[in-house]
Amino acid sequence: MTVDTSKDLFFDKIVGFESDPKISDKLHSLEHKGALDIIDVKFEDAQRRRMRLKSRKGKYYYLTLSRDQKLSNGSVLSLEDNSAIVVRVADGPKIRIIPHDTSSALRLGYFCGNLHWKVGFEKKFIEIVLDGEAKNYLDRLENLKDFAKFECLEVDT
Amino acid sequence: MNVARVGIGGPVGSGKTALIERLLMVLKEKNVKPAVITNDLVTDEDAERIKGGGYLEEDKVLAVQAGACPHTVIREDPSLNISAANYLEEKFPDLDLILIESGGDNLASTFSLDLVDWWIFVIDVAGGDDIPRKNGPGVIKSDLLIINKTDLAPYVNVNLKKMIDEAIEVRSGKDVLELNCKTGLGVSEVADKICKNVLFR
Repeated sequence: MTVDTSKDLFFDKIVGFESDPKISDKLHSLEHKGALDIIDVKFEDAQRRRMRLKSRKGKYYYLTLSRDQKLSNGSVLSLEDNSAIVVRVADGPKIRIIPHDTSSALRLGYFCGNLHWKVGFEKKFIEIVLDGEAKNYLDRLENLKDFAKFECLEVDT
Repeated sequence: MNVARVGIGGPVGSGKTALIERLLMVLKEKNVKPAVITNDLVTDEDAERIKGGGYLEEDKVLAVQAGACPHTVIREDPSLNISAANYLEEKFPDLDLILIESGGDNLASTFSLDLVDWWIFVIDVAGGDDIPRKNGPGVIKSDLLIINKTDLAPYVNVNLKKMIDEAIEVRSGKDVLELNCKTGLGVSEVADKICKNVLFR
């Protein structure tokens, strides 16, 4: 592949966020004019600072973000008077584990950590952020059923 | 801080350091300016080896001592490696690329994308042709899987073609390359992959 290194194809910073009211108004207006392009980024790739991206309009771009920046849903990579480019990151699927008692919760927390799973803690449950098929996680959790009381719920966000 | 960072992981003895030695020669020909960070358990063994080979100015090779399982400092808490990479970027503003070699680890070893932009997992035929079938996260999730020491296949009863086919199958289309660091076979292709995917050349 021959890489086109034209400067305007490179994004080295996030210029704003869609959630900013000033920006969202402008994006809305550009969208009506057909001047808004979207780049879909997989959940597992959103942490990357350098990668090749393809927009919904079929254009290729190169991301070269500095280490203190990270893509998220609604990151704006370009905002001009007559065009804009916004990133969409789909929130990945999760498994919600609901422990029945404190002892089971402790056991589950240790278990998830031991397997290096990425989890979010809520008051009454833990949510595992899936990196791969749900079955891989559910198979491991099955092994824990003799030691902890809990139920699992697949959450497709 | 936006110099490209590439991770190189894989089991003990699979040829990670040998790949870096070879890569440094090829990258020089491609006019890429690299630095290297090595990770060892409690020594600077790999960094000393690279320095001793004269492939790179000595102060562009840094050693990180993990003190524990190597994956802990490339995934769970990569702050030691991030600090080392930041130091190199500040000291050498003209760098294009930092190669970060993990200490030898198991098949579950993966890199945090907070540390690297793209990462390679190196296995070798002498480790057994069943490695791809074991579905280790390193084998499956890496951006590039390398099967090294291909010349040894007949001596260790490995069906290389089958091993490669199975690797391709478990990786859902992601790149797999054959490598022989002794002869240099495949090294240029690895350098090309780095140039294409993170240096955009």
